[in-house]
Order: sequence, then structure tokens, then C-alpha cells
Amino acid sequence: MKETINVNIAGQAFTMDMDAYSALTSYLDDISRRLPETDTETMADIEARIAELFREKVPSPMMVITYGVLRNTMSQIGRPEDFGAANRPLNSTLRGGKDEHRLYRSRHDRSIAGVCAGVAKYFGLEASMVRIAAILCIFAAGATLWIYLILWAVLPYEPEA
Amino acid sequence: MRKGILEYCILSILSREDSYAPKIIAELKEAQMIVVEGTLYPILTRQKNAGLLTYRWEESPQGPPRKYYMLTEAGRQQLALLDEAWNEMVEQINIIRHGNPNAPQTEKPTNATIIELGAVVDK
Repeated sequence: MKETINVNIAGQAFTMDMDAYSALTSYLDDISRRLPETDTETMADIEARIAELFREKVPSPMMVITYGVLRNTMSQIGRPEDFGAANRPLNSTLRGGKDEHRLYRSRHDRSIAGVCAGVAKYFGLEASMVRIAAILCIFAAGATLWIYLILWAVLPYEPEA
Repeated sequence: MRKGILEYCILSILSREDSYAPKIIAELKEAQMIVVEGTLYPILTRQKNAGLLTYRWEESPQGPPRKYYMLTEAGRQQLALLDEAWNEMVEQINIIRHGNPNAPQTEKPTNATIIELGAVVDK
């Protein structure tokens, strides 16, 4: 016996095995981070195609999309690597360990103490943007410099890769 | 460069008739230009955003409506340009491979022309 989940892919209803569902979720996420950030259209096209292939392979709405069907579909669409290099990290919700999403000081990407890069990583921003913002804030408002120094003192380094 | 060629192929396919993604894929597969389907979609979106293609929704006999892609005027012009560049390159490569019996000194194709073609294709 297996747990299933009902999903809507491109407007069509499918019943999927849990393992197939989670594999599909990370597959789509992996592809989307290899496309330009604004490109939701391509993702919609790919999802529509996946729905079409599911329907072809499993014509009856009563039947479940198994991991095997999914794997077959994915090999037809292509590996995420076929879509080029990733230009941003995986969505934080899908990352494995919860350790990964903690505020650290960066070991490698640092101008002074790695605080800005750590903050940037935590919020999924560009490190240089955070640095510019921090520098502007130092001149604009009083507390930023102190916050920086406190973070420097308090935050641990990120774990070694 | 391969990516550029793929874009050229898509324009070429669409110049024959308006088509939808799975059919374009089938044609590209038949010519062994691609093996996986997914890579087509980003290119179609890019070409659409570049104004080379547009699409319309059309009912399909089975399942939900399909996106039918078609060339725009700009797409046609681009394709004509690419056709020309392609023919030129084939000719040049031929000269390189077999030597030019007629005029050995005229128009030696260089890497620059090939790169130029690549640039046209990539556009």
C-alpha cells in the first residue's frame, strides 16, 4: 500500500504516488533554477508537456502516476543539466538539511568579516547588493555599524564545505 | 553554436507551417537534432520574446488547447538571413575541405566568417 497525492498539473488533475510527487517537485525546481528568473512561461510549457505525457502514458484518471511513469517522462523531457547551468540555488523549502538555512558568516565570500555574504545567502540575495545597502545604511542611520559589529561577533562561520 | 543551429531549425520548421511543440520536437528528433524534449521550450520562449515567433491557442482533438507557434515578419527576415549565412558557410567549408579549383585566392573563408555566422545564428 502506498500514499498518494492529488495534484493539478497545467490544469489537469492527476493522482501521484508520494515518491513520484516529491521527485517531480525537485525535478521542476531544479529546471526552473536553470532558466532565467522571470521565465515562468517556459516552466508552464514544460508542465503542460509533462501533463500531456502523463495522460498519454496513464490514460485513465483512476490510475496513479507511479515513480516509473515519472522517470520515463523525465527521461523524455531531459535531465535538468540539459537546461544549462544553474543560476541560483534550489528553493530553500526543498533543501535537505535545516542546517543549510541558518545565518552564518561566509568563509569564502568576504570583504571584511563575511557578514554581508552570510546575510545575502540567508535571504537569497546578491552579496554585493547587501554590501552596498549596508554601506548606504551606515551613512544614513546610526545603528547599522553596530549591528554589523555585533553580527561579526555573534555569528559563527558557516560549516566547512 | 549547436544551440544557434537549433534556433535556425525551429524557424525553418515553422516557415513550412505553423506547429505546436510536440510536433516540432518530433521533427527535430527525426532529424536527430535533439534527443530530449525539454530544451526546446526555453528556445521557443526566447524566440517569442525576441519577436521572431508568436503563438495562438488552438483546440486539439484530445486534451487541452495547444499553443500553435508561427513566424512573425521579423522571424521570416531572420530566417532569410540565416539561410543566406548557412549557404555561405557550406560553400566556404566545401572550399576548405576540397580546395577551390576556380579561384584559389578569392575569398578565403576564415574563422572570422564562421564566428560571424555564429553571431547571426545566436541573435
